[in-house]
Amino acid sequence: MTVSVVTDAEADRVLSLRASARTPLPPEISMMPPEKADLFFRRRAYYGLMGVDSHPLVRFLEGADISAGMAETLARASHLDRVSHYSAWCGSSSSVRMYVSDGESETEVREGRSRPPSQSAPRQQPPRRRRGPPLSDAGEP
Amino acid sequence: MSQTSRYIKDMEHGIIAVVGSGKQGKSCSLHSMLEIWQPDRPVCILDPIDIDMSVWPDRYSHAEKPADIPVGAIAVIEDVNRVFHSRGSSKDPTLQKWLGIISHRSNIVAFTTQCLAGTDLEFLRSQDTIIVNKMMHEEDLGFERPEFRESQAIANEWILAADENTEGYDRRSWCFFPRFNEVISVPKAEWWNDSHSKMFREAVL
Repeated sequence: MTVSVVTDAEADRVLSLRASARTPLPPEISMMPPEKADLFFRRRAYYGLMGVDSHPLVRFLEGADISAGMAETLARASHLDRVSHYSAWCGSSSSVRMYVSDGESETEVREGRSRPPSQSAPRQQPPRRRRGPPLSDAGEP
Repeated sequence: MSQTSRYIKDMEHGIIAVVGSGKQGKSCSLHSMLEIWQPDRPVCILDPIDIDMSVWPDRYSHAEKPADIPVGAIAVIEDVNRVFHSRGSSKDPTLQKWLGIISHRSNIVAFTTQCLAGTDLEFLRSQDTIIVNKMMHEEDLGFERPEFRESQAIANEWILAADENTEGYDRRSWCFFPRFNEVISVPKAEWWNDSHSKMFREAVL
């Protein structure tokens, strides 16, 4: 079966905005130039195999690689929206805040699944929103 | 408190535009927002069609033309493309004249529309406009104005994300506010029912 997809620059831009708004990617994936990503991830796999991936020097060199790759990508970025989303990824919150209102006040939704007060037991902590990829069936992130 | 609620509570005049495909909760959310964030101001439904006002709360009234909107009131227009046709302001200056003085008369103009492409640009460029996005179907998104298509696409994704990450909240309660980058579940006003969502069921065109 052959599937043909026709797109244009505008459609591609909208789709990338939708994807970037929904899925916060780690910087080494979102910002690494394609030609350097292969070498970066090979090195990471090798260091992991050798059991030195958590060595301070290895982590320093990885950080330097990531920074150099991101700087190169940002320098030639054509879609500044990806940059603004990246700055949100670097921070502790996402680019969009989520709230539930009960008519009197609003509560920000954080990790986990939030329920209306009438459907839940007395809450110990503020509602939390799940971040990152969906949980696996085993319930582990 | 969200930036959105703080801003709308302090709004003295301006435009609130609720955009989304049919039956996505535009009218319900609009009236519910007014109920919780602007509870003390009179609301005037602006429509040339006769409306049964007995089903609406006491602070609601009906007006057939902009000149009948009282000072300080919130003018609500259901399906603004039906009442003020796109490009109509190029033939009839009434809309321009009215929007030019709503700041003097402390009026908020709140309307619903299925697509801003059919909405007169005067609503969007002459005043402080808060756009509220509801879900918009993919087919409708293709016809939306290019300058609003991106924020609507992002709104769709965040409304779906909000629906997935919460339980017990109707998906139609979620509203995305692109100016503040916030998605909020607005609770339905206690008095809202089918007689309000189908207010034109018996209307004579």
